[in-house]
This record gives sequence, C-alpha cells and structure tokens, in this order.
Amino acid sequence: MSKLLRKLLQYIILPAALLVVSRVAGIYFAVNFFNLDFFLETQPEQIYSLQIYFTNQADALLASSISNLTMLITISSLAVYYLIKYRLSILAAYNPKVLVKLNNLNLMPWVNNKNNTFLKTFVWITFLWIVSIILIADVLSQDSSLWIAILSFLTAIISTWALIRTFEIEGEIIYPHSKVSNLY
Amino acid sequence: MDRREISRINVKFGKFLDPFLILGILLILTISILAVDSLSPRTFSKEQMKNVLGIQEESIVDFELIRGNHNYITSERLDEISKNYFKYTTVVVKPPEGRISKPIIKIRGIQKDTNVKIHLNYTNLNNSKISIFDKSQNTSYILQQNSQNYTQNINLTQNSDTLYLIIENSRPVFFNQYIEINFFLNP
Repeated sequence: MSKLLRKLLQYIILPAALLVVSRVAGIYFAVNFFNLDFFLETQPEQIYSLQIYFTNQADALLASSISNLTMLITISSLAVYYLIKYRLSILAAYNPKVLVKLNNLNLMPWVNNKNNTFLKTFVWITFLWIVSIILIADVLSQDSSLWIAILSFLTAIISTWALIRTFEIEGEIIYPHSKVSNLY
Repeated sequence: MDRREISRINVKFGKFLDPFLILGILLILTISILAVDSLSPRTFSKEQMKNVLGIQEESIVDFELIRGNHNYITSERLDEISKNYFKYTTVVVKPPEGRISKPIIKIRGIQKDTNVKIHLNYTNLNNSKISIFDKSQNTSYILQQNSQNYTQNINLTQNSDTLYLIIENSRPVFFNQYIEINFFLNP
C-alpha cells in the first residue's frame, strides 16, 4: 500500500469535514443572529435531498455570505497555521539564527513535529482553492458578496506562493545549490 | 500470523489497494464539495431585475384573501412579503373528524400562464391531510399527507380564480392548530 496515498487519505478527512461543518455553522449563526426566516425542503431528485430555503433574496444573500465567510476563515486560518509551522521547521533546519530564535521563544517542540510536512500543508491549501472556487461560483450566480470571493482568491494565491517558496528551500537543503541564500 | 508475515503480505498485495485509496480520496473530495453546494442558502423568491429599457413585460398577479366566517378556519392573514412572495396563515379551531374546506385566495390579474410554488412552511396538524384545491382546474394539490410534506407547482391560467384550503382528519383534534403556507410566484 502506498504510504503517500495512505497519508493523503488520512490528511484529507479533517479539512473535508471542517468544510461542511463550517458551512452549517455559518448558516446557523446567520439564522440565529439576524433572526432570518427559513425552511427546509426535500428534493428527492437531487443527490443531497435536504436543502435550505430562505423566504427572500436578501436573507438568502446574507446567510450565504456569512456561511461563505465562516468557511473561508476556518479553512484559511488552518492552512496558514500549517504553512507557518512547515516554513519554520524548514528554516530552522537550514538557518541557525532561526533555530536560536525559536529556541529562545520555546517554540522548538511546536515546530519540531513530524506532522509538519509538505503534504499536509498542500492538502490544506488545496481545500483553500476549493473554497475559492465555490465562492467564485456563488458570486457568479449572484448568491454571495464579491469581496469574500476576492479575499479567498488572494489568500489562496499568497498561500500557494509561500508554499512553493518553502518547498524550494527544502529542495535546496536536500540538493544544495550555490545561490541558496537568495531563496528566503 | 506474526508481524513479519503481515508485512510480507502487505508488500506483496498492498499495491492492489492503491486504486481504492485513490477512489477513497476522490470520494471524500466529491462528497464534501457536493454537501457544501447542497447546503448553500437558496430562495424561491428571486426579485426581478429592473428592465433598463423601461419595458415591463412582467404581468402583475395579485392574491387577495377571501375573508368570511368559518366554524374552524379562523384568524386568516395573507401577507405580501415581497413582489412574488405571499404568506398565508390561519388558526384551525379544534378541527373535527372528516373534511373541512374554505376558499382562501382570490387570484386576479393573470394575463399569461403563471407558475406558483406552494410550500407548507409550518403546521402542528401533523396527522392531517392538507391540500390546496384549484377550482378552475378542478385539481387538488396535496401539501401534507401521512406527516410527509410536499411542495407543489401549480400552473395558473387566465381562468384561475379561487384557491381552497382543504383539511382532512381521520379523528377529531381537541386543540387549536396553526397553518402557514408560502406562495411563490414564478420561482
């Protein structure tokens, strides 16, 4: 059995579950905080028969925007958290200054974790892209605010860029190159 | 079976499990995306975009509450929540065994065929059969039967005139009950 696939399957479960949970939590928050009028509808012809309907367009837009924002904050904060951990673990392995700083701040046990892998960070950033695509689709169908989609797209691009830069540093540690110091 | 033997079997046959792992990953991804899409808030009541050329093609359909005294169907209200969304509410006073009905809505101003989605939003008459009857088409649309709710699409024509509320009980109910029905025009 491939170790990579096994790890991928293991890492993918949490973000997939959080994606759905944060969507539901966002709708629950919007309905309770703004006291929105909604009802549930069953449509047997759909894959998921249960659907949430609001009684007017403004309420649906508000609930959709809040649930999208909740989803974005949840996934992006965890993606950034794993990205920072991964980057610090790579920099600590290469740069003694970073190592000393982390040691002084007593952050070494947090950084020196076997779970700080490229694969885990990659999975979270992939989910960040999935969130961005969902949000862009929602904006195109006029079901969500534009600024949330722009924010998610920018977060996904910056995170991907940071991941690639960190991965390049890791590559330089394994296969040293003369201009390695330019990488970070 | 010792650990070394399990490891040997894993090395020999484990590679055949890889396609299933890939399928599992794809399945989790697909399920989560479809679930999120399915949970996106929707509405039947889309406001019509304003016509920039100033030509209004949309016919204005008006729903009017038919008042009047009824022994059981009382305290009726019809609220126009938005241009194409009406909410009908009533209190049903201790409905007896059998069938009760009342004309509830008069339809005016239909110039072309109009689609109406009818949704029973709430009732505590859980064991009753509740339906809407369109007199002009002589058709009954079931909204609730055997505790199961159904959303109905009615096509209103120029002949459409009156909608009736019909409640059927297999045994008498000893408490006042509440019904809330949503009507969405051209959802």
